[in-house]
Parts: sequence; structure tokens; C-alpha cells
Amino acid sequence: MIQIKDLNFAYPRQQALFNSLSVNLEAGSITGLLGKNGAGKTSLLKLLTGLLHPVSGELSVMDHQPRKRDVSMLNDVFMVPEEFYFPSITIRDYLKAYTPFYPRFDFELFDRILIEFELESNRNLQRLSHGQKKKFLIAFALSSKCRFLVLDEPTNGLDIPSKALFRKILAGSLDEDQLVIISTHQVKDVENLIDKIIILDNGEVIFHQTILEISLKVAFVSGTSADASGAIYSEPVPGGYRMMIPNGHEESEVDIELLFNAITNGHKI
Amino acid sequence: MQTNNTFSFQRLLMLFKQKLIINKRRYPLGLSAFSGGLFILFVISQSTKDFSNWSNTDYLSSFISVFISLGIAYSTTSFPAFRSKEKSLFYLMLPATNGEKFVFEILSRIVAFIVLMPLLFWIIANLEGALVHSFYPKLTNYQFSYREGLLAIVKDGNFEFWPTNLTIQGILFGFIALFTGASYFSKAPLLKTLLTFTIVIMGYLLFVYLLTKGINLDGLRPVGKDQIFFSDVQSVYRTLSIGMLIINMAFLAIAWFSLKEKEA
Amino acid sequence: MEFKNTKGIFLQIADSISEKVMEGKYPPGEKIPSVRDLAAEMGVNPNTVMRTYSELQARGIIDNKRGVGYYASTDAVEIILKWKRKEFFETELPLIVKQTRILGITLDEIKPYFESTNNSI
Repeated sequence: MIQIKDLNFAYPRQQALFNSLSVNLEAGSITGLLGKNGAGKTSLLKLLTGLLHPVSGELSVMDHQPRKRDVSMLNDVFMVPEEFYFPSITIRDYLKAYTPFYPRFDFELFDRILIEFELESNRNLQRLSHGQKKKFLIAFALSSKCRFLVLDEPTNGLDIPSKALFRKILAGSLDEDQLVIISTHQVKDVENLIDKIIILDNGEVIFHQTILEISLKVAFVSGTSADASGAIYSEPVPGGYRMMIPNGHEESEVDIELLFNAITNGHKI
Repeated sequence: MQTNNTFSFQRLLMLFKQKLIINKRRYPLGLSAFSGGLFILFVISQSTKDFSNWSNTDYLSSFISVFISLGIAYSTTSFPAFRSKEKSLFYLMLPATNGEKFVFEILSRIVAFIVLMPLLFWIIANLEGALVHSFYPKLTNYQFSYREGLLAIVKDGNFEFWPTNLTIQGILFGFIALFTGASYFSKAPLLKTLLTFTIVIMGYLLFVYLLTKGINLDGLRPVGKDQIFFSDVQSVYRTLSIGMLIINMAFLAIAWFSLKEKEA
Repeated sequence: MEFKNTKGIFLQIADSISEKVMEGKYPPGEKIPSVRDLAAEMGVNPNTVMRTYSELQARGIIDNKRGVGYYASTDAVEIILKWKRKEFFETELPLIVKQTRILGITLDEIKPYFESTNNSI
């Protein structure tokens, strides 16, 4: 669905952000895009959606060059950015104004999500709180049925119950031909939701594996001492250590935070 | 499903519909403000003339000043999405082609103004005239007609093609330049466009000044009627209006490319 | 050296479905939630739920009727019981035995807990 080959990108008068970055992504996945601050997560998402233009390299999103912003690509891509602006109109009017551009928009699904998020369609968008606006935008994105969904920090600003709700709604409204990329620092919010992890560091993709692959290779355990056991990576926590060890026999829950720290500290699995 | 990636009139219509839904409160408000303001302007201007000695030409001169100043102000509001990064993002990702978005912007900012504003002006001028006349019967020339007004200021009612063309191109230039400025600059497009023009014109004048000084053309003057480029006044108008047309087209091209290459 | 290990989510889901079959919430022969519905209910990636279902199907606990959905198999209860007993003796019991040795607990001390009819221990 998405092919990136030897992508080079730099903002004007700045050091290169991506040096010959390559990665391929297929439909039917909720992929977590992780990286430290300034690693270029948002920039990569904008390159994929045609909002930024690459310096060089090949970029293909559903057989389109994003920078051309072809309608047949745009009506199949929806981005939930971190910061957004809505006109001063009701949710109902917003649907009237914007849904004609998305031929596969699912109104029933939208109504269901709106109810779950406790939003009323006669509310004026500008009078919603930031979190409510975000919920509306997530509802719109999922209902658009676009094959490529880009969520940049989707759980930022959501209250505690809404984060769980977000996971449930996302897990329950996707089709197999869709690809979702979630860029986030809040790994707890998307645990069990994502099935693939991409880690961006120093302008490159330094890690790209499915949760299944990870859980077959390594286990995440707690223990009282870190020196034994041949741990690949360990971190002190209250009462002992969290460790990433070679997988023995049983799969453990993937500790994304520990994995991220291990990988960005140069460990390989 | 085949999607047209070049230009679709249906999507152009969708853009208009979208604009109307989003501005369904703002448009009536703007139109009433404009009508009310114009009405008051007429009453005040007529009162300074003691509600007599009012003529079509007076209407026309207020038309020209309102048309140009308001047109320029309205042109700078083109591409409103480009005023902020968040709006730009949604605008650029809206599934319509650059061509459709560009045509929509020209139609809604320049063409719509040129067509609707004179019509509205005419209606309000006549309404106001009739109303004031019923209070002050001494206001006699209260019926406004563009034709009458123009005939009064153009010698012999003889509209020559090239001067007329030049005037139209000149006014259009004002609109188009600010339209382009709005597509290019994100913050304060009016100020920045005017500043850019000032710099360009000053630079050009300085260049010409230095050139004439440099190659010492001081002593040289064109000799009588046998000028090199222009044989008569008509050809001056012609050359200038063709030049203006080219400049206008060039500015629209710049606007097009700044939309096409816009990033958010 | 002690390890504490949280089971992978795919196994947690398998456990929870098995539990529901044992409790009679998903009676043998009855339909169980679709992959999508269960994913939505738990906020878990549908691919993970799919993997759980494949595993349970391979164990014979659930059946897939094409185009209709998943059903708890008729002998689901026996299979789960066999599986869980095996798991108890292989993984859980050794840990308990080890712990009793460390704490010096004898079999006699534990016995009353098994004989008591009161389940509230």
C-alpha cells in the first residue's frame, strides 16, 4: 500500500531530517510510529499525505505520488493532526459540507461513534473542548472509510475513559483493506491496539516488526536482580527490574516502552 | 470507481455548496453591512450637497472608489485557509484538484465581486434615491444608471477600445496582485504585497536612474514625432494594455504555482 | 531468580474465552462474538483476536462455519478442562510447590483448606 524508497527530506535551511529512508507498509494493520521528539514522525506523516514534498526519493501511497495530491488519493486518505481548526458550524452542517468529498463515508458508523463519544450533532464545533473536537475528528476519520488513516497523537487531550473508548471504537470499525498509522508518545494508550511497530531515529527506520514477531523473539519480565538471566536490556523499576529477555517458552505481553528504550539504546532483536 | 483527477464541475459545485454552508450566517451579515454602509454613505454625500445638485456622476464616482477599494480588500481575503497552518492542512487535504480549488477561488473572490457588487450598488443607489426623493423632492437626479454616468464623463460617449481595455486591465491588476499575494504570503498578505510592490518599483526606478546616469543619457531626448517605439497615443495604450494583460496572466500563474506547491 | 511474567494478550484472550465457555456464557454449539465484535469490546487489535481464534480452533475449542461465524465446539468443555489441567500441573503447581518449600509449609498445613466447604479463603 505504501512504498518509501531512499527518501531524503530536509526543511529549508535546516539539516537533513531523513537520509535515504526506506520502508514498505501493507493494508490490514494498525501500525504504531514511534520516535523521540524531533525524530520526524509528523514530517513523515506529512510526506505520506502530500503536505510536504520530498527532496528526493520514491514515495508511493496507493499507487499515487503524494505530492501530486490527486483527488483519487486524497479521498482515500484522512489525517487527524495534532492541531486543527474548525469553522463555527454545527457537526451536522460540517457533515453536509465535507462528506460529499468522501464517496465511501459511512453515516451510520458516524452516528454510532458520536453516541459512544457522547457528542450531539447540533453542537457548534468551535464551542467544543479540544478533546471533544478530537473525538469528532476521529469519528469523521473512521467513518470516512478512507483506506489510509493517519492519526497523529490521537489520544492527546482525550480524558481517561475516552482513551479506552478510542481503542474500542478503532478496533471495531476497521476493514481489512485499511491501514492505520498512529504516531504517539503515549504507548500505554495504544498497547494491544497496534500490531506493528516502527521506530524512527536519526532520520532512519531503525526498527520495523510486528508485535507477533517481537513476542516470539523476546519476553518482557519483572525480576529482583538484573545481572543474571542474560537480559538483553533492563531498567530499574520500584521493587526490582523490568527486563527484556530472549523468549523461553511462553509469550509475554509486549512492553512497548521497554522495547523502545532498548532499541533506541542500540540493542537489536 | 473512476475518479477524475483533472477537473470536475461537480466537485467545483461541491466547493461552492461547502462555502455556502460554512458561511450561511456570515454572508447575509456581510451583505447587510455592505448595503447599510452604502446607504449611509449616499445619504451623507447627498446631505453635504444639501440634497440638490446630485447627479449620476456623483453616484458613479462613489461607485468607482468603493468598487476599487472594496475589491482590493476582498481580494486579499482569497485563500483564507493559508492564514494558518491548521487551516492549510485541511484545505490542502480536501479531495478536490488544485485546478478546482484555484478556479473556485478566482470565481468566489474576483468574478463574484465584479458581477455582484455593481448589481448590488445599482439596486441600493436606486432604492436610496427613491426613498430620499420622497422626503426631499429637491433631490431630482436620483435615478442611477451606469450608462448615463459614464456618458457624462467620457468625451462624446466614444469608448475607445484600447484605453478602455487598459483601464479594465489596470483595475484587474489591483485585484489579481492581491489575490496572488494572498496565495503566497500566509500572514498580512495586503501589507506584504504592497510592500513587495513598493520595493520592486523603487528598485526599478533606482535601476533606471543609475542606468541613465551610468551611460549618460542626459543629453539625449526623443526627437519629435518619429519616436522609436510609439507612433501615436493609441499604440501607447495598446502596448500598455497588452503589457498589463501579460502581467495579470503572469500573476495568476504565480498564484497557481504557489497553491500547487503549498506545504503545510 | 524469580520472574514475573504477564501473559501475552493473545493468550489472555484465549483464557477469557475458555473461561466463558466453562462458565456457560458461551455454551457448546452456540455462536461466540465475531473477531471484529470481540476486538471492539476489548479494544484489541483484530489481528490479535484473529490469532487467538485460530489457536482455539486448532485446539478444537471453537469451530468456524464459513460465512456464518465462530461457534463453541460441542466438546469444548472437555478440551479446555484437559488443557487447563495440563497447564496447572506443568506451570502453576511447580511454582506453588516451590513457594511452599521456601516457606516451609507442609502438606498437612494445606489440607484443611481443601477440605473446607467454605470457598471464601
